[in-house]
Amino acid sequence: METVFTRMLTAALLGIFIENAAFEHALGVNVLLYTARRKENLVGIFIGVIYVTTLTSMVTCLTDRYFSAWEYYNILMPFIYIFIMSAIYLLTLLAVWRFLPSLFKKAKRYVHLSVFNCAVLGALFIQSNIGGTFASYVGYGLGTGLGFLLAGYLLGAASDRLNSDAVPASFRGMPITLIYVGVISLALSAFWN
Amino acid sequence: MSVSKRKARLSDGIVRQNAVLMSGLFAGPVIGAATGLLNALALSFVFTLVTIFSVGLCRIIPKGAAFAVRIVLYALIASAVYVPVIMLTQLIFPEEALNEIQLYLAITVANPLILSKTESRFFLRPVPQMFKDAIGFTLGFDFACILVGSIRDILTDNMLWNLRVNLPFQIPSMGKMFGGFILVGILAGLCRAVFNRFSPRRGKAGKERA
Repeated sequence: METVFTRMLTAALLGIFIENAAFEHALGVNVLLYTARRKENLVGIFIGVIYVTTLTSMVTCLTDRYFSAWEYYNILMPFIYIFIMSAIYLLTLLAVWRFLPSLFKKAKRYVHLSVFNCAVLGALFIQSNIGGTFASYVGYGLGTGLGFLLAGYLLGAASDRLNSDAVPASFRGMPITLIYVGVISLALSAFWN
Repeated sequence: MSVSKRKARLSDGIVRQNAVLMSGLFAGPVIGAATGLLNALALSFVFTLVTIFSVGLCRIIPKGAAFAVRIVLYALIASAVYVPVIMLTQLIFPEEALNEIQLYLAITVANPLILSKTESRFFLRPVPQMFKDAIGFTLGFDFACILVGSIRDILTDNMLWNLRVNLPFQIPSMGKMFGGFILVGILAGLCRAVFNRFSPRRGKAGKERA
């Protein structure tokens, strides 16, 4: 039991800090830029990302285990992963529509951003390359979602300053945000190295 | 004037709404994969084919279907299109380069041009205009990707593919992820500055604001 927990925790920490989807792999940058611009959906989108990465990792662990020896698995991986993500997306949406109609009304406009984005899909590919046990897949999926939340929080916290008059007009918004993410990425990679 | 009534212009996607340098819509793969010219060419090739064919095929999906179902079908079509495209890419580009950027090639199936721009822009136009618009956007991405890849190639190794470029300095960190973020951020800011300077509409608006 302790080993399972340790594996899960190690994989989660890997996903949050060392292999952070946004800072170390530049995945989901468009979603981060969107959430930094419109703060009202921030929590919902990131809860969605955590939910989808964790749940999808559980299923992809099984497909990786049973089909990875197949010659064409690498080429078909995006299709298989998208199929799994789609199934989880539609089933969750149906469940929310049935049991939490008020949440469905609010979330339906942006929930697809949480599911079909590069951070989720990229995290699944990275985990597939790393391999590991079921616990590490779940841990890494959870860690990726939390790491993405951390990136969103850091961007949200600085967005007022990044859009202030102190920044030259042409650099306000997306350009300065990318430079800011680059500086955080530099600091993180220096720290881990 | 609504999007559907306006004629599609190639320059919209290439310059004004460039998916990497102006809107940042798909900047991540450029930052992660375009560490050299060869990688940038491979990424542009896959991105262009996947996007153009997927947008064309997604047009067949009836508009009456629920939004959630349409999005799912767009993603599934893009990932199905990816299969022949990657097989073709493997015939053209060296395996070593493709292995290096495998992750970024695969995530082109979840690109926002297919998953969001189709609904908000491409499908609001007649089919020929839609293709013209989509080609403009992919050319814009290709331009940005190849530009970033070339600059990083030159700054990292003083080489452009196999050509030696004589510079008195090297910046090896440009090949790293943070180098990509900073370079794309600077290029985006410069592009916006140039665009604001020479665009008559923006220039006028700017003067009025001042």
